[in-house]
Amino acid sequence: MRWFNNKDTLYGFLVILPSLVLLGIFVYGFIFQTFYTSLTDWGKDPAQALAANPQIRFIGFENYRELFTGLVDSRFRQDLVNTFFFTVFFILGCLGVGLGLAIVLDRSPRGEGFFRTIFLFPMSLSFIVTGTIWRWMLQPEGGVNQLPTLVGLPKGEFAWLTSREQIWQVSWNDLPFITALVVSVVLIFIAIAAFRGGERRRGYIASGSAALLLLWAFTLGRTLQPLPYDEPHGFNLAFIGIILAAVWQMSGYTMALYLAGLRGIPEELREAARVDGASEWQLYQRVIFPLLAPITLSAMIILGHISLKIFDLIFAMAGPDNAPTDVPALLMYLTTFRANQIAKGAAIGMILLLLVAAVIVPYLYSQLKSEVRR
Amino acid sequence: MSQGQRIRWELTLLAYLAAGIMFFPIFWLFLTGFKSEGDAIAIPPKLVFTLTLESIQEALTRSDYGLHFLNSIISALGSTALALILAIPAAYSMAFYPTQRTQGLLLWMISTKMMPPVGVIIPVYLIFRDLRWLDNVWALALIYTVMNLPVVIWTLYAFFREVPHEIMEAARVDGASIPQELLRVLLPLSVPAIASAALLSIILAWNETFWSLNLTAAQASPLSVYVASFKTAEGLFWAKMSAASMIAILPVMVMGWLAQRQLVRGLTFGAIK
Repeated sequence: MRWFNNKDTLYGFLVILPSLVLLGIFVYGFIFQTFYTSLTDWGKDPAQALAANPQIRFIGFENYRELFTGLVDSRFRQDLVNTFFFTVFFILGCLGVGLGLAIVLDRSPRGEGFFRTIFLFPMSLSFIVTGTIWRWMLQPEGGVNQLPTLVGLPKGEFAWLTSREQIWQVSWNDLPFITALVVSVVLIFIAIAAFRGGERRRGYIASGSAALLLLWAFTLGRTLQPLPYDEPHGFNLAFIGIILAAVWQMSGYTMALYLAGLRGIPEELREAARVDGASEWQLYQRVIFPLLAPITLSAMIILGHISLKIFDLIFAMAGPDNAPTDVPALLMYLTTFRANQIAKGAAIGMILLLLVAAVIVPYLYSQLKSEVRR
Repeated sequence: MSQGQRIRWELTLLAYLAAGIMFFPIFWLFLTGFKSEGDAIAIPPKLVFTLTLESIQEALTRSDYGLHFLNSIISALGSTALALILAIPAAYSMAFYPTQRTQGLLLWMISTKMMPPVGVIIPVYLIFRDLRWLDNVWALALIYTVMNLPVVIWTLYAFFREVPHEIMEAARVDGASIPQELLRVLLPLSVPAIASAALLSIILAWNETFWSLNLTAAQASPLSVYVASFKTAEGLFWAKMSAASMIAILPVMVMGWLAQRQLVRGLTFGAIK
């Protein structure tokens, strides 16, 4: 009998093998190779970039150092800041609009299927088509700027995709300090939550790391100056249009998640809260929103990894050459395939990959742990 | 009218308003596709205009439109077929002969789908260049297969896991071999699951742009690249561009409408049951 089991396991393994090999080579194998490429100077000498047998030297982390502290790569640093703001507002927008739509549909049961279909419609479009539609609506002379004229106001003048205005500027030199402060605050919140929940060990670890980080920030962190001068980076207002389009496309998705969550909350629970004298607002605040928290977390991870990877939407809306709406994925495309700076493009790709991994690996790992527990 | 009724009425109104706003951009795209160039750029925008098929005709008769359409179909269908061939046995094995590592393996596969393509494109590009596979629609289909394999495996696995083991065991007792069991018993049961996995994979491949943009040129580029390139080529011909986009999205709009639930689940990977 044991022999049979083993044979089944062997067959089982053999049929999975092709998929594993394919994914292993095409994804993790090539990630490794990209990483190796990023440590070379491939493309620094234009003559070698497209040569059949290029002469490539190993230069260690030089490309990364240049991206973060080099004079010519300030565009990359602005792109990181762009991605940060885009991600934050995209997630907030999708969560807000999605939750609002879900609550409306949950409470007015008539025609739910119809509305669901409409709200999810944009999701099946490609980002390219979404970008094409919205580029047109956001033209200086087009759709959205004409809206105020419908009610007799003067037309809008905002250059949605090409505005060079920047707000909330921060010097790149202050970023290590600010990042440390923000992370410490988050750690302190985690520590407080852990102590309240009775998880002492976790609480000590979190508060200890927060203290260490703060100590570092106020001593060494202030003296760490990546650049010899102040380089301001901020939120490009041109991104508002991109965020609008992205939220339009993906808010139906969060709506569907939240709606499923709301439908999963038993009616008795709501009735019980009402009997206890809770107002509608309290019902949502105390009972329903806490129950939706796990959905919010999952949605944030999924949307977060989409927004870090975003490429085609901006490619179609503003084009790859529009500096105010640049993101790392677009810069990687320009650096590698237009400028033939292969190694530097690889380094940008690796940094983006690390950002995405930082979002999804803990998430997948926690999924694994909860699956095993079940 | 009681207060409850009024709130419900207001909410319904709100839902219609939101639906109007959400649908407006698509509606406008279609409207513009049926306009002449002059009407398309008129200010204020024209709601009443003479319906014309001129723009659609022009978009369709451009010599290369058919080629790009065909490329989209080949890359989407080809990759989906290949992904299904690889995924059905794999999902079968993981669902019916799970080991301790199955969950980990599945999540590892999903991680490959979530990784950004910018992290792997350089080696792929260089290898395709050396093999002379650039601008080849079948090579593109291979990339799409790898891209969609995790989603297809996961969708099938989630369905297979719900199939009662007794059915398979009964077939086994009747003397069926494993391939017979798979072909005669499991596949007929799982037509809906296979169909939804296929729909999902077709939609994702149809909408993909990063790979096709970088790996294909005039010969093998699918519609998504064509629509993206329309921008630079004919920046100001809005009606023609709307018409081209409209025809490009028609197939996925129908499929997306059929597969909305799968789209949501496929993106979430069952994180939310």
